[in-house]
Amino acid sequence: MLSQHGDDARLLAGGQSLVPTMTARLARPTVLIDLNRIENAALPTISAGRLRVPPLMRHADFERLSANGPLSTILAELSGHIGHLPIRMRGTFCGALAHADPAAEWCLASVVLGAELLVRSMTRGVRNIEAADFFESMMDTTLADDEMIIEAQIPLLPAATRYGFSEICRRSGDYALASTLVVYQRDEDEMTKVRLGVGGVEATPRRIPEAEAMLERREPTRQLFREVADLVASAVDPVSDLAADADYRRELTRAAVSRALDRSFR
Amino acid sequence: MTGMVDVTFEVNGERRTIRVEPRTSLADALRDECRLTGTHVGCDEGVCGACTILLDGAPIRACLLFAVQADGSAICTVEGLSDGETLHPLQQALLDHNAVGCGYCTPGLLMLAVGALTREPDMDEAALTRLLGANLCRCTGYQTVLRALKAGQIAMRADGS
Repeated sequence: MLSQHGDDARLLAGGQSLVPTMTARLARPTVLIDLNRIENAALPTISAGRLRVPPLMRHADFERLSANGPLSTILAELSGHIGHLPIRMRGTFCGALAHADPAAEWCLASVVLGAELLVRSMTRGVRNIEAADFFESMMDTTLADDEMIIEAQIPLLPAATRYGFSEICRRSGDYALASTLVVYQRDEDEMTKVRLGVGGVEATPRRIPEAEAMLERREPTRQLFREVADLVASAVDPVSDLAADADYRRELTRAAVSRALDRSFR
Repeated sequence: MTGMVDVTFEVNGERRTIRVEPRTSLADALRDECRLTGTHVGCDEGVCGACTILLDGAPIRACLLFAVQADGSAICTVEGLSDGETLHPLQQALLDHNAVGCGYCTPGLLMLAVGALTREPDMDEAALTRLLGANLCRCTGYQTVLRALKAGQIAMRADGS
C-alpha cells in the first residue's frame, strides 16, 4: 500500500506523535496504514550479539527487558524519560526513529549505541542504514516514501560497560532541551571505547568525536569531565526555539554533558 | 476512504457494535456512539490526559487512538470502575481526600491511576508523583490527589482489585 500511495500515505504505529500532528492538520495523509495488527512484531529477540527491536515494540516494553546486561539497563532508564505512562504504552521505538524528533531519547540512543536500521520497500527490498546516517535534519530521515523500518538492531554491551545519561527538560516528560548519553568500557583505571552524543541541541542527535577522543584512555576525573563538557558546549551549533535560544541551549548542553559524565562514574 | 465502518468491542464488560467514520477518535466514539460521557476530551492532542481509558488493561489516551483500531479490544472507562453503588477504592479515596475540584480531569486521573497501580501495585511516592505528570489538573494542585492515590493504593491492595 505504501508503494502504491507514496507520500499520500503514512504508517501508523503508536500514533503518539503522528495523530497530534494530524489533529493540528500539520499532517494530512489520505491513507493511514495501521501497523498495530501485525502479529509477532512487539517482542524483541537477541541474535549475533544484537538486540533486535521489531516495529511494534513500545517504549514501556523496554522497562523490563528479559535480557540482562548493560544495554537493557540503559534502554530501561531512557524509556522512563519518554513522555508519560500512557504515551509509553503506545509509542514505539521504530516509530520514534521514523518521526526523528531531534530531542527523542531513542534517536540519541540509536546514534550513540551504533544501532543499525533495516528498512524495506516493496519494490527494492531491504537495505541497512547506520543510525548515524539515518537522521537528515529535524523530523527528516533518509527513509523513502515507500520504505518502512522493519527492525532496529542495537549491539549488546560488555559487562564492564559504564554509562551516564542526562536530560534537561522544563517539566518531567517534556521534550529535552538538551540531553547527553555517554557509554564506555572501564579498563583498569581507564575509559575505553568511549561514545558520547548529544540530543535536542542540534537538528539531529550526533556523537561528538572530539569529546570521545579527549576521554579515550584517560582516567575519569571530575576535572576532565568539566573540560569535556566545555569542549562539547563549544563544539555544538545549538538551534534556537521558543523554549530555549542557542546561547541558553549551549549552557544546558554543558550541564547535560557534565551530569551524564558524573553519573557514569557513580 | 470515508465510508462508515462497524467496530465491535467490549466496553465495561458489555459487547458493543458501533458505526463510525474511520477518522473518529476512540474518545469521540465512546462519548457520542456509546453515550459514555465520563471520558472527557480536553486538548484532543494527547497532552492533558482527560480522555485516559484502559485498552486491554493499558492506560492510554483515547483521543490518540482511532475507534477502528479498538476493534476486538476490551475497554474500561470511568463508568466501569464502580461496582453498583460501591465506588472503586480510588474513587472513594479521591472523595475522602477532597481531591476533586471542577472534576473535568477526574475520570482521566482515575483511569491513569487504576491502570498504573494494576500494572505496578507498589509504586512509591516519587513514582506516583511522576505518574501524575501525565495528566493536567488545574484545580487541586495535585497534593490532595497524591494523598488520595496513596490511600487508594492501600485500599486496592486490601481489596485485591
